[in-house]
Amino acid sequence: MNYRLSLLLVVAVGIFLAVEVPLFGYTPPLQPELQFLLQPKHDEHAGHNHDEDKKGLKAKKAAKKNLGIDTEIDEEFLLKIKDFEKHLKNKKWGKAIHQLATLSQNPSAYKGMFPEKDGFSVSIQYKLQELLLGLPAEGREAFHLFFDGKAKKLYRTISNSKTLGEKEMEIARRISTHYFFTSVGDNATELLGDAAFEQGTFDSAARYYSMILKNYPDSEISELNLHVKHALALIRARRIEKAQTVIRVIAQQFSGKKIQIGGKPLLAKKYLLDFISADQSQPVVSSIPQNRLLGHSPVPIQKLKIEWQSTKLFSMITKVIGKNNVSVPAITFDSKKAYVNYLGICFAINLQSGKIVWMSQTLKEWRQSERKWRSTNQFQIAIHNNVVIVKNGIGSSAFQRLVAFDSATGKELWNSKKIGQLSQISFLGNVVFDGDRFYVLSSRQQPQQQQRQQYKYKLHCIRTADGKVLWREPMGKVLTRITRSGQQAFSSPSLSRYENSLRMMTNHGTLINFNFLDRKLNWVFKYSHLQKKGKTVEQLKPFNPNGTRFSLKKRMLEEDGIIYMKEKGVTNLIAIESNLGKLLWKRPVGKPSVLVGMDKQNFYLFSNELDAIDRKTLRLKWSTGVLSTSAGRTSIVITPKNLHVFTRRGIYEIDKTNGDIENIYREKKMLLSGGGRLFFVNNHIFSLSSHALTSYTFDQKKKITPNETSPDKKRVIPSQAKP
Amino acid sequence: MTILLRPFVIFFFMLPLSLSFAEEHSNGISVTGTGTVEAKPTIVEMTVSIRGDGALPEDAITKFNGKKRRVKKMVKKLNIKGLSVVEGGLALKNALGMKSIQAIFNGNGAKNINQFQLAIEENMTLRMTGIDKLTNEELINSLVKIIDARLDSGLKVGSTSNLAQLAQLGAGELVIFKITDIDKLKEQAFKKAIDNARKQAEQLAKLSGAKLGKVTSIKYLLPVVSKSKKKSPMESYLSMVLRMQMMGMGQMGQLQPEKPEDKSGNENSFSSPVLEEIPVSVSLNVTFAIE
Repeated sequence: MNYRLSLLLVVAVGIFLAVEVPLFGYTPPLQPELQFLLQPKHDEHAGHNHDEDKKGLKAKKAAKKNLGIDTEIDEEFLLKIKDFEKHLKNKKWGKAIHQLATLSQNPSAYKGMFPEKDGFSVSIQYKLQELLLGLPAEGREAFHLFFDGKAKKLYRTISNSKTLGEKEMEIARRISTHYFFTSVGDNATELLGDAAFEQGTFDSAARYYSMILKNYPDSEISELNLHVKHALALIRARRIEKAQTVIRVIAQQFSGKKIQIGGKPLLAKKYLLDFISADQSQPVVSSIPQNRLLGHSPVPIQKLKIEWQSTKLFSMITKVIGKNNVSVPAITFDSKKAYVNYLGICFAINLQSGKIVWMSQTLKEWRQSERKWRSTNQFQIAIHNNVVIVKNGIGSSAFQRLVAFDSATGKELWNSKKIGQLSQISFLGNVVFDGDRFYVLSSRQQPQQQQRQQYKYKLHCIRTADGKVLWREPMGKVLTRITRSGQQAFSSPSLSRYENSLRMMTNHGTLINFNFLDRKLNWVFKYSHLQKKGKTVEQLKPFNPNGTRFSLKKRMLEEDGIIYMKEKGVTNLIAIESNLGKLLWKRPVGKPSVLVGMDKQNFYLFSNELDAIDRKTLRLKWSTGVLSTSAGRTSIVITPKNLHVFTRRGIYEIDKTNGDIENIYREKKMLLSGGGRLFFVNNHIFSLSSHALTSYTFDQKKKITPNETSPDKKRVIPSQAKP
Repeated sequence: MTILLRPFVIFFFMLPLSLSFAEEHSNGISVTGTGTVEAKPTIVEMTVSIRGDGALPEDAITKFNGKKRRVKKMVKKLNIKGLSVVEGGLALKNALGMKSIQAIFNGNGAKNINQFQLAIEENMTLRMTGIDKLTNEELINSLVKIIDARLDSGLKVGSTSNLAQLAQLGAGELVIFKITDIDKLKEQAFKKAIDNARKQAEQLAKLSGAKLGKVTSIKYLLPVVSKSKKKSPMESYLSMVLRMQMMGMGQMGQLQPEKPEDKSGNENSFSSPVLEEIPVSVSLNVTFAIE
């Protein structure tokens, strides 16, 4: 029996070896490009000191946790706030109010931000006002008792003044911020609201009126008037939903009451409703660029006709840089021309004829200049008041300069290289215009005091006409990521402006709200951001004809006082109340997707699929597989019925209700390019790819072939340029 | 084992051998006849992998249903004669399963192993019948239209969810041609095989001076599987991944009904990735009596 058992055992072991060993022991040969699957990730560090590895790992982990901007926190201020809260809890009003007043007297003595929940930090000024407004009734009475005299004295300087200048407004701001619960707090705040309304900063005006209505029930100012002013400011700020809520309150509480407008008594509700319908016809004030929103008539994509196509210069450039480096260039429009910055060579194209009007340099000059084709983000272009501002990457480093051109002639107006204050500065991201000035960020490398180099973001306010620096403000330390090769890396930030606020998105874990008036950070929002591979600063995303990698510019949209954001590497679509700096909601979505647009019904997110998420329910309505552009910078055009997307298989017309692909428009150059961007300017659709700028029309106009100037033969001298 | 038992054991093992020897050497002539019938493919198939995944399970369902509906709409819109959609089995997976495997390979540990993201998959088949009645040009035009529509719809060709198909077909092959009415073709092949066997047996009988009698037995031989070709690195990689999938990593549940085992083992031999006449071969061991 033992013999039989042992025989069985031998057979069983044999069978096991025959079957199982190849399963576990056999490593199938992989193709070279798949070898990375079996290699340890950090084999380049093999042979290094273990302690160094540990340190590196710790640094990496720390950096991953805290990407974005390092915001300072003043420990002393935190302790004083704790003391204040303690006194408040114990109902020691005298001590509490004294503490708050001491802090309010000199808020600039404290640096940094105050940490709040959900990843937000708010400015010390904002925190103090919040604490003041949050005082209980007894606290407010005590506050009134302590500071009414002082506030009245301050307010007298305003009322005695014949004109309301910046000095008077500053006093009003001081009363509103520090002495709100006094007999003049409401008057000062109303004054600020009126001033903001006159300046056209309606969002701020609405905030001031709302502050009185919410926190000052005993105000002597007419409540109806305040409600009407509040509603008007909201309508002008395009916060129609909120305005309608205010109108409903007026209808309930002040039914049939009239207000005096231009000496005439008018029914408040009717006046406001009429105002809404009149205001609806005005252009939409929104961060969604107008060229992404088509008119109210649906555009039949199958009826598109090429009016002209500018290809010659594009072809020459792509030939120089090679097909593996092509990308969709930066572009901007005014009513007459399109201005293109194609990896450093800038040119203007007439929108009527498609002819090149001017070029910043000849192809020969461009070819000779020292350039390594890096990130498309390094090359930006923007226009305002007939001045074209261009940002170019210089040389093999990530150093980026600004150059201004006259939009009509292409004449260089100024170059940051030649301006002393700007010559050593490398700029980042896009520029944002504000009247005669613009804002742009820079990253400045700090001296090597520590082991690792420190970078700081700085915001520059520059006069558009001559490049003079009007002011500069630090925006915080950059928290860099460590790449596999040990380099520091951070993404290119993007700027957008809304009234007096500038939103700065670092694109790696931080959103900042900066106020122009007091030139201070209002709030900072930090969120979890995961990036797979370490990339050097603004590294080029190569053109990959078979892949679906892409780079989308739009990551943040703003409407009705709410910021919506979703960038690549973040696992949520996020909504933030922009005034208060408060998280409204988060909705989990795929990590690779990017927010590219929204309309009244949906949010649109794009990765290798185009998703529509219902704005009310936050449910995914549909998702359609659309091959995205692989050449970077794509965009969608939203029409009332459809979405238009320029992919590497043509322009897709997608039904907004169900995501079905209704039509596809294709032409030869499109298929060469790998997709691109769409614009709607002067009632024409323009498509921009790495290979062409094309103008389309919807009628049967005769096709015009542009007679482009050969870029290599001669440079177009501005005076000779024919429109 | 006792010496007394040993003869019994030997007898027990030798018994089947002796019986088979007896059978092999029964009266008559035994020959193996083969019959082959070649037929033009009548259908062409291509697999469309439908996958819906998302951060929320509800997203996965919406994506999956939307894609499935769009495939059907696409087929309807193509309006190609004989083209239809055949639904396949449904599989529920953890979309992060494969990412976890890759993380382990990359030395990042199994930190993501407990993360879950629902993925719903179905391999649908686009089937076009009656292709034997089309000219090559007409067929190619139709196939190009289908492939183009697939690409336009953003349906991935050779996505990770399509590994099983890739491993079977080889990377780069998009369609598979098949023949139908196999029973009829087999019948023709059997007839040929018996004729072939009879011819051989008659020759042997003539040579040995015997007269051929009736058929006393017929044995259906399984077709010889062709020499296993050496796997390409890509196929090896795919089979490795498939093996991992089979080991349960990333697999949540399989709603696909098990296909009945094809005992003849030759179902795949009636299909080809190339548009050519597909052979249907049978082998029979036929024993004729000697009179």
